Amino acid sequence: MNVSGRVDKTKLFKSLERLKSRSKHRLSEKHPRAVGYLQLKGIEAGKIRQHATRLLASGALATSLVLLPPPSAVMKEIASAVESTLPVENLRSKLREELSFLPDQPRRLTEGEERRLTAVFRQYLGINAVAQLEGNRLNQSFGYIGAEQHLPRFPGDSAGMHDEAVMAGITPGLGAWGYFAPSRSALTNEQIKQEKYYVAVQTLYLPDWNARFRYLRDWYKYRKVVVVNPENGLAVAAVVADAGPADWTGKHFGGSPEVMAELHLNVGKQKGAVVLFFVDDQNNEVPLGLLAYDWAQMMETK
Amino acid sequence: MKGKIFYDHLVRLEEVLVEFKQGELTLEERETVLDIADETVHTRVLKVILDRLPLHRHRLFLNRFHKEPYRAELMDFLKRETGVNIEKLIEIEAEKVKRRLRILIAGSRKYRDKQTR
Repeated sequence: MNVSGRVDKTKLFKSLERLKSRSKHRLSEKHPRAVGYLQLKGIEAGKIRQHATRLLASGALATSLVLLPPPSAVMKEIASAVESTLPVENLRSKLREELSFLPDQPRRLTEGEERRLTAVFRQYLGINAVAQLEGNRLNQSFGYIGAEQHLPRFPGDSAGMHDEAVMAGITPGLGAWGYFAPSRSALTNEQIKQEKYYVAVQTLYLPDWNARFRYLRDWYKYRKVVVVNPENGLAVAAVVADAGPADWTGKHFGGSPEVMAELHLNVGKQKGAVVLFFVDDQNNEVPLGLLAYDWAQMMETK
Repeated sequence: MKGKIFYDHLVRLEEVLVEFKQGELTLEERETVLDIADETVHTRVLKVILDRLPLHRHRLFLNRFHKEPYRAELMDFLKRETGVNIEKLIEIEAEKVKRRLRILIAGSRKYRDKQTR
């Protein structure tokens, strides 16, 4: 009995091709954006080896090996890759164009205008940002933001203990929701980021603030928002950590020193018109800080 | 010379070539088998990675991956961002592909003279 048959090559190659195309199909179905992103870069998902070989052949690898930065530098580079490599200026200018329908002076936006902003933010920033979330909305979603000081994160905190914008100082009182942590040792990295990228919103002027105080107090505490400067297209994800400013100031929102710096509003009067929307981010996937622009994603969604 | 991918050490695709007998495939055919298998593995491994990586990190990863697919630091990034033993998951996925390949190779054999005594 002959048990060692010969390979039917036609059958084998057909089966292999079928396996390959099934795998490709599954990837495309589950991660269409990722596949689209690679395609924009001129790479088919499965053909990363050919791409790597081309890099090698073109000498890119040899060059980068000669100039290989130390691992820590590489990780820093990875962390800021999107900002440093994508044509941010192009995107910003496109986003600015899209936001040019906003009036010169802040006012209450119409529902249609707010919907339009939601679509623009989804397209350009890849986030779901809305003026009204879970039935809650601020009196204004387009208003003036002014500079705030650092908030005390724990008893005994001082401006000098903050790693950035020390000169901005620290508020003498607590934020509307008190300390972020009971002590310095209990302060987490997440809380450090929350204080770094916080905003103050006028919860005190909400029509239902008193009637639904407990619910709203909890709902707004560290609520994630996006703040967009329509003048330059810069966008920052932040959390609500304080209440204010008072109406008489002519401002509608307050921004931490870092928020104002990221929006390029930390100069002159330290005030500017911004859009402030809630971020629908139940899985906590949108990182706090300057939002990375992604030209490729914008192209994908067009 | 072929370009390196940062998870190559976890895949070891050449292992499936032992399923072929000496001289059964030409060098060119062996290369073709490996190329198709390689593409399959990359697609499947990429899916495993993206399944586990938080959505907001996809673009960051893909951006670095397409620029420097050989970077060992990409694995550190994945370990940190996925919070799972991603190396093990890649290894398991590669094993699944290799097992499938072995089945396909065995299934494509013609058994002549089965009843020959």
